[in-house]
This record gives sequence, structure tokens and C-alpha cells, in this order.
Amino acid sequence: MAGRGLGLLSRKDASVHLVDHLRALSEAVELCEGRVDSAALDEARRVVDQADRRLAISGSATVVALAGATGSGKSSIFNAFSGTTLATVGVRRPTTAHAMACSWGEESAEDLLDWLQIPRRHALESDPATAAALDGLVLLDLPDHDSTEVDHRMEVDRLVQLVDMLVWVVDPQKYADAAIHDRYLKPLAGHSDVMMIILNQVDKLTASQREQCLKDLRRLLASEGLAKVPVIAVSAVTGEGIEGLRETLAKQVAEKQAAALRLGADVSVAAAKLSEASGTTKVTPLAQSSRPRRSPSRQECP
Amino acid sequence: MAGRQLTPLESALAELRAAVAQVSLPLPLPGAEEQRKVADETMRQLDDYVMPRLATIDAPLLAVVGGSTGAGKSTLVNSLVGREVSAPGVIRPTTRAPVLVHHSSDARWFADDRILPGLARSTGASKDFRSLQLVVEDSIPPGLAILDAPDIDSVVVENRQLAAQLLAAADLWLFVTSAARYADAVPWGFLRAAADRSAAVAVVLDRVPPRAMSEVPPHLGQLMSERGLGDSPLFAVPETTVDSEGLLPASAVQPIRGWLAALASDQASRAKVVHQTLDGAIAALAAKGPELARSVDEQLEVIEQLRAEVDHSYAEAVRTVQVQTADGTLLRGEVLARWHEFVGTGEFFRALEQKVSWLRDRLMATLRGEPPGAGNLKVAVESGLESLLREEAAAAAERAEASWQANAAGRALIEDASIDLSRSSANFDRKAARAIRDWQGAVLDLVADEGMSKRSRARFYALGVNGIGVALMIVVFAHTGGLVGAEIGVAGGTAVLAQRVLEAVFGDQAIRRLAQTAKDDLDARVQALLADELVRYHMILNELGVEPAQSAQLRQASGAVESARAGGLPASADEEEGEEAALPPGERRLAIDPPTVTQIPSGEAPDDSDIVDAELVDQPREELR
Repeated sequence: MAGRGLGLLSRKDASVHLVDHLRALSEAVELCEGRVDSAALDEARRVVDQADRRLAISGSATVVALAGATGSGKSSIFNAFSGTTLATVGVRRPTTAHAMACSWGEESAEDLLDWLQIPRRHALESDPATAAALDGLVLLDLPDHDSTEVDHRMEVDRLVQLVDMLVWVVDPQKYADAAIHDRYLKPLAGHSDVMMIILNQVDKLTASQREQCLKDLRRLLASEGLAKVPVIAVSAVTGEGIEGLRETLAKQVAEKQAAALRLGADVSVAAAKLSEASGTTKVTPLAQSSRPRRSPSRQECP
Repeated sequence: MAGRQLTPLESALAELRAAVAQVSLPLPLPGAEEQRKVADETMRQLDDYVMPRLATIDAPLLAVVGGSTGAGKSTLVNSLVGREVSAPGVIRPTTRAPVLVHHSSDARWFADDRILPGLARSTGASKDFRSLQLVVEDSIPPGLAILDAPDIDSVVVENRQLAAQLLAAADLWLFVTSAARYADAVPWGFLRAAADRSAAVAVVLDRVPPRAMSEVPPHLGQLMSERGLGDSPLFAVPETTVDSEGLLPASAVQPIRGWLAALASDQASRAKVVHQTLDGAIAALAAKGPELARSVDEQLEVIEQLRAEVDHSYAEAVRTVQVQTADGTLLRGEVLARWHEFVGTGEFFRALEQKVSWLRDRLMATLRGEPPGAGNLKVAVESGLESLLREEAAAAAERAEASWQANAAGRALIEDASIDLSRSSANFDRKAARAIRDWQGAVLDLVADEGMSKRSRARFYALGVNGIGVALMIVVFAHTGGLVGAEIGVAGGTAVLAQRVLEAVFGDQAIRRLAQTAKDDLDARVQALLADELVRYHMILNELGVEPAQSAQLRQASGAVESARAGGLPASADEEEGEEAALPPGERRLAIDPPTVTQIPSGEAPDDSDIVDAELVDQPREELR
């Protein structure tokens, strides 16, 4: 079983092994109970719990969140992407106070949104051409994480843990803020498969500035272990790059892998933390360390 | 500063600095890390700003331009100066080495390490973080220097630290934010800190899109009023394209430039700004003293608790050994077997319980002559005692370590310790063995001394010093409650036998005294031995260097600063000494008057949507709300 944590992310179908991994993790939690630092234990327990609930609700929908700083243009992108004016756009900062959801497709996303505790929701009945490609997408517009409003930050923290895929919206002014890198991007380094970064407001830059800016952003991300995360340049004002975003998300939605990938990454991270907390300085696969104790119970259940 | 007499305020501050320098807060208690930072910042601010400012109250006013990455600080500084002195760019964070721009006549104030002694000076562009690039520029007024600080919120930690340090050294903050950023939490953290210590602040709201001109500046003004910065001027700079040299149009920065020029030229208002910030900074520093003292006290409390825990653990070990060397516990196994061997056959012993008195006679007969088993018995006693000591010392170390493991501070100490605190020290066994042998030697000396003076010298010689010595040890080990009765069992029986033997030699009284002396000696030796073990823990706690005197000094120094501050700040040379100096410090915190700037009449602002010039948004914010 050694090395499976790494294997998970490279498998074609992530959900096949997710169940095994979850079982292994919850077993590890039981074994570590009372022996290991409770923070790591609580985190692992939370991951198991969350995965159970997420898998129970809907396997086919994909929840994508637009997250980012105040003024970066999450709401503008949300509107440009959905072709609506649902999200409030304004010059007053911070603009968005509550997360809002928009869903595509026949299937109701109500259960999912109830679980995510998002009261503001809209089902889009747009033209069939785009709707078919995005069938099953639930797009969230999150509040900011860096304004003086602490409530907003708490809401972002909560939802960042729950959604299937994270689209971080940054802009030329704020792309190197410690608020986003230290608090979110670095800790989420294990989740590169379910993240992407949008550099918004590129209409404000000249071609060479844009080049420099993207290069520096990629350098910064690479230094944080996020080299794999796709970065796309977008302008919500001119509509540039929105189509590319649509294609990327349509692909994710069609593959229906994001939820399992995200949970898989959660499990890997939680397992690594738990393993570290159990005393080995080197992160060894969980299954190895718990095997001797587990063998008797193995024989009982075929 | 040499040759100049320090004012009472300066010496009080120097004392405070010395007191803060001693604070180490080594234990990882909640809040300790922040307080360590507070201590560093306090010392730094004293060195960088407060002490030099007090010494040279007439030095030029230092305006530090600080703010978020990407808010346009460098472009603003360049535009204020009129040429590129700080390189702007799209790559975040932009500013590297901070740039200090001053008039040529003010060069003497900044070339040496009067202010910010920790930063090297350079005259060319530098990539070195910890240096200060000096730029002479005669387009800015004399008496005013502008320092372009790094950003306060980018991913580059060094930038954030340096920015905080530079802002702490400012006479005036020119705080730059942008329309996209003005509600960010990080800048507001700084602004709140500035408001708390009543530093002079002017806020520049940069990059305001024309359509936001009517909404965002009033909103920011409202936020400022709500957070105690209602008196600070606010300048809004519209988002415009820069010219070929990367400068904003002169009209966009004219209000700021004019305001700064007016401030520089007006000696009185400049002195007011300097005093306001300086006095606020000193008040804030004085308030840090008791805060740090509390942290020191908290550390002390935890240290005392940790000390009490290990003390308790070892005291318990001493007590246990005391009890077990007196209640017969030792009279078992090897010791008992050797005693049997010593006094003869087991039969004697078994008969003892019924026939103690008869036995005494028989015993004396049996024991005549140096009995062969005394040496063996002595060794058995030795190893019995040794294992008791080893066991108890090990248990004490284990308990001590466990008690430290139970809290974070203790855990940190265990981790950092160079020795294993969960067991006895490496040479404990050897030391214990020596202590026991020494004690046995002392017991033998004791009986030898006593024997020389006794009437029954014949019996004494018959038993030999060794024989009597071990018999006394046996008595000691069952000493609880003085004379022991036959009913307390085998161990008691053993001791009774030994007692009878000794009584035959020394007499009843002497035995009690001898046994007591021997026991006291043993206890003292055990205590000394375990105290040596305990010292290891004490050493670790002492090495932390947290002492009660430190917090007392901090409090005392803070109090001295407070009272010296009430005596007033040094007056500037041009100031009218009399009434100005007599003002109490609180009333000296006057607002900066925004003197000559055009102001938006509040009624006009909302519909005036195509403003392109920078505007000073003035105070009647209630009406704007």
C-alpha cells in the first residue's frame, strides 16, 4: 500500500481508490486516538466526515468557487462567465458580503448548496449550447479574504475547505499579497490539481507588462510548490480569456473528477499530517505504520 | 550626542531601553512571541527615531511613504519629487532598497547614522534590503525629507518588516492605498496602530477610477473617521496614465505637494507634527513597559510552577527513601538471607518469636568471636539500599519529566535540553554507591567510637565493629516507632534480634540514640544525593535568565518615562518657549491642519463625477455619509 498517496493523483479515475483511502484514514484516526496531537487528528476526522457527506450528496455536480482579494474582480468574472448581472459589482470595497451560487443543468443542486450553506442561489436556464457543456457546474462567487471584514474571511475559510475546485482571482495590483499566498495558496500546495489562478484586469497592462506580470506570478507560484497550477490571463471588462475559462471548467465538469480529486488531495494531506504527528520525522505511508496492529482484525472480515 | 547633557526624558527612555533589552521571554507561552516582537520593535523605535528625534528636535521632518504593494507608492514619490528616484514596475513587490529624498541643505541630517542606525547608507540604486539610498533633490522643500518605504503586505517578509520599522521612525506617515485596496485588513492594521499612538498620518487614496471618484473617497473618509483618523487629511489621486517619464500629471499630485510644502515652510505646524508623533510614540513606548513586565511575570510564574513540580517530585523520592529505610521494607530477600547466615541457622530465627529473651543468651553464645557473615550482610545491605535509591531516583526523574511534558513550556525545555531529563544522570549509580558506602563507613565509625567508651568492651570485641555496625543498620531499617515488637513479623523479628544484640553491647538508651544518629545521617546523604539530581532541572530553569528584577525594572522605567513625558518634550529652537512648553502633553497632540489645499465643498462632491484632479476630501464626513 506504500506510495498510494502519490498514486492517487496520477490515476485516471480518482474515485476508485478514494473509498479505500478514506477507509484507511478513518482506521488510522481510530488507531491514533489519544496517542497523537489532537490538531492533526481533528483535521483527519474532519476530512473523513466531509468526504462522506460530499460523496453522499452528489457525485456528478462540480462545485467551483471564485475566490480572491477584494477588488480583484471575482464578481465581474462571475457575471461575465454566467452572462448575467447576478453578482453585485461596485467600487466600494468590499463589495460581496455573502457567497452566491449559480448552477447549470437539469439536475438540482439544492442538496449540495444546502450542505454548503449558501442561501443565495440561481439555476441558469441559458441557451442549450453552452448549458450542455456546463451541465453539472455550480459556480460560487465568494466574499473577499483580505478586507477588514473578518466575517468575510471566515466565510472564505469555510468554503475553501468544502468546494471541489478553487479558481483564485488575482489582479496586477494584488497578485503578490501575503494575504493570499501565506494564508491560502501555500497551505493548499497539495491541491494543485483542483486549483487554477486567473490574472484579471489584464486590460490595464500593456503587452510587455502583462508578460512580465504573468512570468513573475508563475515564478512566485513555482516557489510555493504550485508550478502545476494553470494560470490564465483574463479581463472581465473586455471579455478576454473568459472563453478559455469556460472551456477549462467545461472540461472539468465533463470529467466529473474534481470532487474526488479534491477529497483525494485532502486525504493525502491529512494522512501526511497524521503520520508526521505520530512521531516519524519522515513522512511514511500510514498503512505501513499501522499494519501490524491491524492484521488481526483483517482476518476477521474477509 | 557626546558632550550633551541628557534630559530627564532621555535618560528615562535610555533606562527603559536597557530594561527592555534584558527581556528574553524564552518560554513558548501564548503571546510570548508577539511580546518578543514588541520588545524588538520598542528598542528599534527608540534607536531609529525617538532618541535621535529628542536629541535633534529641529532636524527635518521625515515623511515616510508607506502602503500596499501595487498601490503606486513609487510613482507617487517620483511624481512628488518630479523625476524618477524610485523605480516603479508591474512586478510585485516593486520597491527594494528604501529611497530617502532630501534637500541638499539637509544632507547633514541624513548622511550619518543619526536616525535608522541599522541601515547602511548608499547614494546609488541598491538592491540591498537593509540599506537606505539617499537622493539629493532640490525640488522638495528644505526641512522635509521623503522616504519611500517598501510595501507592507507582499509575500516578501523582509519588505514587510522593513516597512514597519520605517513607519515607526516617521514623523509623518504618508499612507498610500488604492481604490482597490482601501478596505484591506493589513493596511488598516497599520493605520489603527498609527491612530492608537496618535502618529501624524495623511492618507493618499491612489488609482481612483473616475467613476469611483464620487463614492470611494467619501467611503474611505468615513472609515477613517470611524477608526480614529478623522483628523487626518485624505488626498484622492485619480487613475490616470503616466507620462513618458513615468510621472503622474502635476495637477494630480499638486494638492499633496502643496500641503507638504506648506508644512515644511511653516515652522510652527511642522513642530506640531513632530511633537504630536513623537509624544504619541513615547506614550506608546511607555505603555509597552508594563505589558512586557506582565509577560515576564507570566514567564516567571510558569518557571516557578515547573520548578515546584520537579521539587515536588524529588521531595517525594526523598520521603519515600526515608520511609522505606525505616519501615522494614529493606529487610527482605538478600538482606534477610544474609542476616540469617550472620546470626546462625534459620532455627534460631524461627524460634525467636516465642523466646526472645532466651534467645538472647543463646545468641550471644553463637555470636562469640567475629562472625563470618558480617561482610556478606554489609554487601547485601549496600545493594539493597542502592537499588532502592536507584529506583526512587529513576521514578523521580520520570515524574519530573512527565510533569514538564504536561505543558508546552515544559515540553520545549525538554526538547532543548542537552541531557535526558526522563532518567537519572549517567553517574548517579556510581554516586549512590559511594554515598551508601560512605554512610556504612560512618556507621562503623559511630559504633567504634561508642564501643571504645563502653563498659561491655569484651562483648564489643567479640562481635567486632563490622558485626555491630551491620546490626545497627538492621535496627535502623526497622526503626519506625522506636522499639519494635515481635508482632510486626519477620522483618520486625529480624530487627528485634539485632536490637537485642546491640542492647547486650551498648545498653537500651545508647541503641536508640545510635540508631537515630545513623538514620539521620542516611537521610541527609540521600537528600544531598537527590538534590544533585534535582539541580539539573533547576539549572535549565535558571539558564532561561528570567528574573523578577526584570519586570520590576520595566515597570519602574515605564513610570519614569511617563512622568518625564509629563514634563514636556524639548522645544524647537524657533518655538516660543514659554507657554508652548507649559502645555500638558495630551493637549499637544494637535491635529495637522490641512492648510492651503483646495477642498471639495461637501455638497458638490456626489454629482461631480468627472473630477480628474487630486482632491483633498475634507472633514464634514458626517454629511457625506
